[in-house]
Amino acid sequence: MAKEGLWQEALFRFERADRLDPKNPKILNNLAVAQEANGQFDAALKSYRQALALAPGSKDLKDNYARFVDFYQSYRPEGAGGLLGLSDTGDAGGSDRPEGSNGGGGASS
Amino acid sequence: MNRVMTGVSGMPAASSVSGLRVPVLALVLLSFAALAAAPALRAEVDVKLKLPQRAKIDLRGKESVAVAPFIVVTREGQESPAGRDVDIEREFSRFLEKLLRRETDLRVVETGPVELPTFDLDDLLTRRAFWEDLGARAQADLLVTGSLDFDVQDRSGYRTEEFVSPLDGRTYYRQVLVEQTGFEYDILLIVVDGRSGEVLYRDNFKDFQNFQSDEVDAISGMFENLFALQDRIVNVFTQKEVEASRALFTDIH
Repeated sequence: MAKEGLWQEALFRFERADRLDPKNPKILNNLAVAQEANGQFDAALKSYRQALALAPGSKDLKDNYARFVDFYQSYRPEGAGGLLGLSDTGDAGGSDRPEGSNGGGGASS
Repeated sequence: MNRVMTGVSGMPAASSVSGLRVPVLALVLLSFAALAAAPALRAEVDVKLKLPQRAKIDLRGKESVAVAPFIVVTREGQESPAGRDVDIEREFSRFLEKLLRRETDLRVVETGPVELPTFDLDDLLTRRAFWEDLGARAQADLLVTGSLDFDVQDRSGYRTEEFVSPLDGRTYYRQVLVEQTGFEYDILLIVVDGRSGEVLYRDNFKDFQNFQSDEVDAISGMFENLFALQDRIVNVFTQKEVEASRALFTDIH
């Protein structure tokens, strides 16, 4: 479904899967990707961080998160200063805004 | 996955197991086959996302833009492309105005005739009063200026070519003339605040196009350069979408 670009439907399903199995890093990763695809970047950041906190050794997760950070910094440079590196992923479940964010930019849909 | 591919390509080394009994060899081959099938069992899949790429300049409170004159750079000792009936500055200004009208929400306004106080770009950019005055006169929140360096290069030359003689079937080498024309465009784009005269943004856009003929005229080559650069130029003034790839897990248990 996600592969076909039906991202709203994919988001709905990953959210439901996350409610049923909230500590599953793979579901959280998929949820984060769907949130990104739907323009919900703050929520995606939160989901990626939660996923990484649960599975810090997952290469695919780390790659996804690194790509997301790369995109998000160029998209929202004024608020993404604290996103650098993967070492700050231990605060999963924290704020759903990037550190230092001023809330501007209107990234979420 | 690379490891899997290496294993498969390593199969010719089977000679080293030639001494093994047939069942053992079959087992080895089956193992390779299983490894080759592994990609089909991948637990993740790559998907493509369309993500927004923000405009390079902060457009809050900016509604109008005017294209101010650009300074054309000519290289010493070089035949000017203007001599080939190309008005580089006029063509670029028209192209940029059309692009801004078509691709951005900004209102494109005219500056009218502009007399530059200097043709030294660095000096020009320090003259904030000039830009303030131009911005007020044109009623433009943003002014676009910079420099243009367009070069047509005759890249024809002899190349060595292999051919098989129809007479004796042997391969020979011969020198052939290859006619090529190169078009190089180097644009320094500067955006100035029409109210304060402050430089808001500057970037360099370069493109090179090569054609296997000497019959491509300068203006066609120039527009090939501009079409190649237009997405990057537009992204200065408006949000664009870019494609990104992410991994999704297919086995979530």
